[in-house]
Amino acid sequence: MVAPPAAGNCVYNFGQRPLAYTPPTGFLKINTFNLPDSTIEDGSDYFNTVTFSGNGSAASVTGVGFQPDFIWAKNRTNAYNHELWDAIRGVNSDLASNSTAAEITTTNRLVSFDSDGFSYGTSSNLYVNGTNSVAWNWLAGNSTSTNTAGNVNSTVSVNTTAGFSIATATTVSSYGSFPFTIGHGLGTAPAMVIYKSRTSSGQNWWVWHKDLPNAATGRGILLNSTGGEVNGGYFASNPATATTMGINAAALINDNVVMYSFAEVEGYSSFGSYTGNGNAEGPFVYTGFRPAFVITKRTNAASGWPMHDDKRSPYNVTEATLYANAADAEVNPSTEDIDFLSNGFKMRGTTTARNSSGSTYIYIAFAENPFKNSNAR
Amino acid sequence: MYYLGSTALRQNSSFEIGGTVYPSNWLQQSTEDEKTAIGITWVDDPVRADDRFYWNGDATLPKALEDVDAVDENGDPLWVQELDETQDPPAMVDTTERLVTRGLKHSWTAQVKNTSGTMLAQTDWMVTRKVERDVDIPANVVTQRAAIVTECTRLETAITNAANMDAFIAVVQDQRWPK
Repeated sequence: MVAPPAAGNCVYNFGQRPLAYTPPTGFLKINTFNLPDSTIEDGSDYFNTVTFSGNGSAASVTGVGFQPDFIWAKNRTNAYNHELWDAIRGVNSDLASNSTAAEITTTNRLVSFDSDGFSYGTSSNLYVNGTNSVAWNWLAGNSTSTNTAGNVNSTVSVNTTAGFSIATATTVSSYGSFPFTIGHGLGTAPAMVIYKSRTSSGQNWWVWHKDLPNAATGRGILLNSTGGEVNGGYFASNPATATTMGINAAALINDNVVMYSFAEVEGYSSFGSYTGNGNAEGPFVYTGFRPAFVITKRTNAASGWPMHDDKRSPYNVTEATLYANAADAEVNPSTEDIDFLSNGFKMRGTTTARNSSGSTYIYIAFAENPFKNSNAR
Repeated sequence: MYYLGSTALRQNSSFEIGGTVYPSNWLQQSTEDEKTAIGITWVDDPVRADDRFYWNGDATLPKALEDVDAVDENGDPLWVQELDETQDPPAMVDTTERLVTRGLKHSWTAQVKNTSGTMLAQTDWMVTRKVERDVDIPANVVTQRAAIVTECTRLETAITNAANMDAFIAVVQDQRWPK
């Protein structure tokens, strides 16, 4: 590397042209071609976002690219509940991330998980004529098995390549004391776990994230709330192992629960933290891939869970915002702006939900493409 | 994007045709004639309407311009929620303030105000200096600050008065902030 001349142009050669001298042993040209290959070249093989419009009738949504095992949908136009379905709980089992309500089991909400998407019915809020919706889709195992690794048996659908599993369990009274341990099947410790009672009303969506300030002592944060990290050991101490997740006071006895576990996969998913600076020239977060989907959450004080993706905002700045904790319709506040970059994301807004000076945040991100295979937007 | 039949071919990814595997750099290094010879064609990406103004990039689906009071799936009113930290764990509770779904006019008005505020902030110190120490603000700065306020007011009025999406887009794409 040389300093640029005081005047005129300077051309850098990062290996796009032959080098005059062979790099020393152990060194490579500084270009993305020399980055290691990711096990997942195309993130949309395992996570994909689709947008669609309701026309007042039941309909099928295609273009996902795989049969989703976990669908998180939200009507963008109206302030309707989020709708979350997974293949283990089944089509007639609807949860809302913004609500503590128990699972709704009326028919005609989700009708089927299809090979390239899903079909919804007229009890879902996605069908409403003249409204527009988004669905985030994850691929787990497309099949289930019984997992006996924990002291509570679970039924799991696992994708170890993508680091994602769904587990359902019944916290039977015969176990009788906390913590419950529930097998997730990933074979590596999850970086984030979302836990929710299915059958008991008034129960929170508990989230454990490895970068919560007090994650090791079992503290969690609520997906259905603006609150920061919650005091108390709702999860077990050091709860995430390669085989199980330890649940403490977040659990009820004799309850049916669902647990979504996510392990980091280099080039495909990233679960981390950053500190805000309150400036439109905000912090850059390195993920190692161009994001397709990002959620952030302030951990030291109250604020929402803004959700951004590359389909609702195909160009930078990425502005279209929904909140996981709220039914609110989509908003486009410039204070929520972020840029999706080829190797991470950068805060462009100054909202407390993203980039308050000195505040600490956790984030969840899934890839469009790994850094090696991605272009600038 | 290059297509093989109806299948889109990604750059930097290998692909297979009739048992022959083509390496990941083949699309970049081959000529158009070589691509055509094996059945690969170029298809222009569809023109996408601006997602800031239209749903799903579809020009037939304009976003709402005006604010509306939010209602739930049953048509019942929704209320702004706040965190009640007296509960353990803290819980979200309704306030008495109606939840409003904001239209584009609201968010773009806020954006215009933000732009104006950001530009004015660069010379705010001169105003403070004038008030505190009676040091004159340079004439060109006075002119520039007045022009910023004028443009902000013009845009806010024009946004408010936009009768439809075409008129609205014309306003927000014709911002004339002073240098």
